[in-house]
Formats: sequence, structure tokens, C-alpha cells
Amino acid sequence: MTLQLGSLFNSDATGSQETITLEPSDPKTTTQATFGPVFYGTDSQGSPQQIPTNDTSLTITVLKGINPLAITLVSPEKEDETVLLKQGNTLLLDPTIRNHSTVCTIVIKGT
Amino acid sequence: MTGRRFHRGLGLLVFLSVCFTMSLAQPVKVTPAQQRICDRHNESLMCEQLLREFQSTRELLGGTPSSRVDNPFNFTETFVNKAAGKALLRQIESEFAAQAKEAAQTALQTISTSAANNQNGGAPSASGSTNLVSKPTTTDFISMAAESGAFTDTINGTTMTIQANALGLTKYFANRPVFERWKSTAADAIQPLSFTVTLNLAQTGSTTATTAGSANAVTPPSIASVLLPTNNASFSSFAANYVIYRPYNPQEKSFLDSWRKALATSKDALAVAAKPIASLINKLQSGEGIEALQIKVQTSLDEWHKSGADAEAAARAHGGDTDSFFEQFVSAYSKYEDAYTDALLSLPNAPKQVLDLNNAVAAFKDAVYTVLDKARGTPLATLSYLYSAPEGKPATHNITAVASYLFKGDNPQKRTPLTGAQLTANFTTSIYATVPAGAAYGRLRDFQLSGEFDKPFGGTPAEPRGTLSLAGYGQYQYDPTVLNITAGNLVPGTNIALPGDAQVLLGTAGWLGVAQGKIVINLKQGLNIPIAVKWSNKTDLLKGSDVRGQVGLSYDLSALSKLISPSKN
Repeated sequence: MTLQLGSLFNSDATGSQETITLEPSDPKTTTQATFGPVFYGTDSQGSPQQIPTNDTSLTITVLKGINPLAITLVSPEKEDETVLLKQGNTLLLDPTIRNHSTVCTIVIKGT
Repeated sequence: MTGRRFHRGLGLLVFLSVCFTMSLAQPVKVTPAQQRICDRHNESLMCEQLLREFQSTRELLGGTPSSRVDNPFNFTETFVNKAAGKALLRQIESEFAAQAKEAAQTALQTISTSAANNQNGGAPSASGSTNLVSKPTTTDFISMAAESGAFTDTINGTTMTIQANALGLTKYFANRPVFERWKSTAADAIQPLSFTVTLNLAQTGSTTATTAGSANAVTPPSIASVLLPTNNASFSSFAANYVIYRPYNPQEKSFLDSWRKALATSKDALAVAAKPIASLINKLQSGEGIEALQIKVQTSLDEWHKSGADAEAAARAHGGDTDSFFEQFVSAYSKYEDAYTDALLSLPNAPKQVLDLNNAVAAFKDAVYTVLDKARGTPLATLSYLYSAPEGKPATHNITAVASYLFKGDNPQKRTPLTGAQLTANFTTSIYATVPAGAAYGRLRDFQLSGEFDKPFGGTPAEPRGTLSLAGYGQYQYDPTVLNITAGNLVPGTNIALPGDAQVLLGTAGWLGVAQGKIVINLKQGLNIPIAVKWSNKTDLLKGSDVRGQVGLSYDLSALSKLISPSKN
């Protein structure tokens, strides 16, 4: 199962494992941008749950209900850089990293 | 027949795949005219995303119209930055913002005061200094150190050294967070500037006081005045330091290695700074809230989809210059985004949460900027000017160049023998501030060369328990040491009238060498205790080798992040 794109949130089956990759946007073929801390869901105390990432990919297990995936991105580049967050070939988001970092969100509804 | 259908179907599939691939692969380059269109519609920071959407054949023109720009909140930083103005109108006060900022301040303070090799004490020439070599980095705010000992001086001294960073002080007086990045060219220019003032403590001297007469019969009445011993703090030296940072190239392998290591060592601090962001995003985009939002914006969303798709279709039919259609597209999106923002801010507590999120995002960005500074490594060099007015000696001007190299090791999680070690070299030249007429010495006093190797130990690479240092110092003095003399310097019973600027030469010209071993114990939160022992082949006033100890106590006030947080109005 993959994320089904929607307007305010994307949908997926609860329990599915989905991998999101960070890629450069054309015409760049490489990027120094990486994931910073990423959070999805909450722990037993209700605090945001940090999920493990490597530099350019992360995997989540879709939770029941509507939960945002809060993503931070960091880059040492001096210039603004737009990167692509994709699942396979599907473009989920194309945030621009300004002044070495940005914050973006992908809202997911687990059905 | 079936085979022909199959081939047709396959051909269509290949055609659609090529179209799809082309639509994704097409580089998006915003032209100046398109940027002006976005600026006109208050979409300056979303121009590339809107152009990518405008040029795509998949989304608004697809079978199920929806677009990744439909939820403006997904571009969280851009959205909250823009929505903050509206949110501010609805909600001025924000208690959670203070909490988010405080969390980020704590993270930044941890990064700031965990540097193992900052210089908090006095310069080597200050009597009482425990630093034989000047370091390139100092405090981000204010530090204080009390030290006792001497390197080249014959007389031990006890000094108090106060250092302050120009930008840290400016932020404090401007009621701004001391560890947050202040985005200003002037702030960037004064950030490397710091000042140091050293005071001599326990300075012994004497004051002449007129007597009011004899107090008993055995005291000769001819005693009209006596010398009273004094013990005062007095000015020793003032220094201004300017740090020259190494320019960095994001493509350079060594810089990228440093960046990755800095990210790894600051991982926990960044997570602390990012957590309030995630917490607020959860409040704004979870469960019932977002479903309520969808109901509120559905009409505007449909209008945007229709107008956007019309503009895209018209542009494809027209070909050539499509900027007028792009303007329609951006205009339609801008109207929708306004409606979305209003709908979001109408949800309970949303204005406050959006403002808090905006602050938390800014604090996180500042934390990342601090990591970048860390990756740039120790400064290439520091230039320092020092005006020194030691007790009993002529004042001097000193210019020092400091260069250093920090050994980082390959793995930030694994300590190697050289991890965190620092090699520092100094070159100083010293001239007399004034040379009286008829002086038997020249204006150039000496030059000094010194080097130090520091090796942190214990604890973690980011927060070592202490630092072990070995240092060497060489000073070539062109003339013997000049000593200002007063009646107090004369042997008792000497009956010589002295002019106000009387001076004598003491000691010898030539090389003076010092070797030092030092251990600095790092207590928590910016408190350090340096203990040192030194050997020198002679001192400034006396021939013959000398072995001596030095002790001190220094405190970096940067650690008191809560005390230096901006006051709330």
C-alpha cells in the first residue's frame, strides 16, 4: 500500500510501513540536505514521538486516525535549496530549505 | 485484433509514462517575471512550488483534482511565517512560546559552553594569568576568572579577568535572547569582537598620611607623616580581540565531514529544539481539528481547483508566453490560502498555537545555525590588541596573532587519542606606550612566540571533565626590564630625591623561556578550575630559573541562560 494523495491529508492503511526519501530537485542531481529530527505520533505521555531517520530516508508505520508527520530538514548550503520528498516516484512535498533549515508537514490519515 | 489492441494499449501506456516522466523531470526555474507575479500576490516564498504545480499535468488537471499545495500548512515554516501576522491580531500573549524559546535557549547554551578550549582567564602577560598561550575563542556572553601566579614576572600576582562578547552584550541590552541568531549584517560584524579587562587584586602599596601628633610620650614629635600599607585592585590591562573565521565551502569534503559530525554531536540539542514544533503541529493538524478545517475550506478549495485547472489548461492551449495564465493561477491560490488561513485561525486556540509555532521554528533555525558555526571549526586566527599597564612597569601596546587547529577525530561517537585536542600558536610583539627622553632602551620591548597542546579528557567528547595542557613560551627582550621606581623601592635609609618618572633597568636582555603543564577541571555549566605549574629559565627582574604554581577559578556566565533570557513585558 502507498500513501493516497489527498488535499489536506493523505490516506493509507493503518499499520502499513511507508518509506519517504529526500531527493534533490532538478536540475541538481545531488543534495547535501538531510533529515533533522522527525516526529510522528505521540508516546504514552502524549509527547511527540521522534522516529529514526538516516540522512535521506525515513520509514514510518501508519497510525490510526489523522496524525501529522513533522519533518525538519537541514542543509549546509549557503543558497536556498528546494528538495523533493517522495514515496517511490510519487512527489509528496517540495519544501525549500532557507537559511540552512526548514520545517514541513505531511498529514496522514490511517484508515 | 487482440494483439493490435494490446500494442495500442502498450503504446498509450508508454506515451503516458513519457508524459508523466517529463512532467516530473522538467526543471522548475522561476523567471524574474514569474517571481514578480508571486510577489504581487503575496506568494513570494511559494513561487517555485506553484510553478511546479502549474507546469505539472498530473494534479489539478488529473482525474482526482488535488495538489500538494492544497494544505498550505504542509510548508510549515513558510505558512506560519505568513500567518503569524494574522494570528498576532487574534492573540498577542503566548505562554507556550516562552517555553519553546527557553527549551531552545537551553540547547544553545549547552552547545555554547561545552567548548573545551575557550579562554576565560587573562592574557599571558597579565600577572596571575594561568594561560601561557591565548586561545582563539572566548565567551559568547560574559565570563569572569580569578587567577593567581606569574609566568615571566618575578612577582606573583592575583588577577580578576572579565571578558565580554560585543554581540552577546548588545543582545542583552537590547532585551533579545543572547543565544539566538540576530539576522543583521551589523550583528554578524560584531559577533567576533570581544573585550577583556584584567584587574590586579591584592595589590600592595603605600600611602603617605600626615599624623595628628604623637600618641604617647615615647614617640618623637618630629614624626609628621607615616606610610600606610594599601591593598587595592588596580587596572592591569585591556584587550580587544577580533576573530577571523575560516570561510567555508559546502562542497568541500572536509567541511561536509565537519557538518555531519556537528549534526551528530548536536543531535540531542536539535531534538530538544524541534520537539515543541512537533507538539504544536500535532495540535494544529491532528484528528478532529483538520476534519473541521476541511469542512470550513471545502468551498474555497473547490474554487481554487477549478480556477487553477482552468489557468493550467488555458496555458497549455495557448502555448508561448504563459505568464498571464500563471498570474491567474497564483491569484486563485492566494485567495484560497487566505481562506485557509482564516479558517485555521478560527479554530479554538489556533492563533496562539500558530504564533508559538512561528517562534519555535525560528528557535530551531537558530539552533541549526549554531551547529553550522560549530562545523566551521575553530577560527582561522584571532587578532588581538592589548594595552597593559603592569604595576611598577611602563605601559605597553601588544599585538597578538593567534592560530589554532582542532583535531576532531573521524567518529563523533567514538573517542580517539586526538579527539577534541587543540593545537594553538601565538605570535606577539610588544612596544612601550611612551619612551621618555634620554631613555637607555628602545620603543620595541620584545616579541613572543608560544604554543600549546590541549587534550580534553573524561566525560564525553562534547562535554569533557577536564583538559590537560602542555605549553611552551619564548620571549626575546631587546633590553633589560624597565622598572618604575618610587621611594618605596629604595633601600631603607637611602636619601635620594626621585623624579616622578624615575626608572631603572633590571634583569637581562635576551631569551626568556617558560614551560607549563596545566590541568583544567571542568565543573558543570561553565565553571572551571585551572591548576598549573611552570618552569622558566629566568624571570623579568631576576636571573636564575624559577618554578611556580598557578591556580584559578573561572565562570562563563553564558551558562546562566535563564538569568540572561529577555525579560517579559
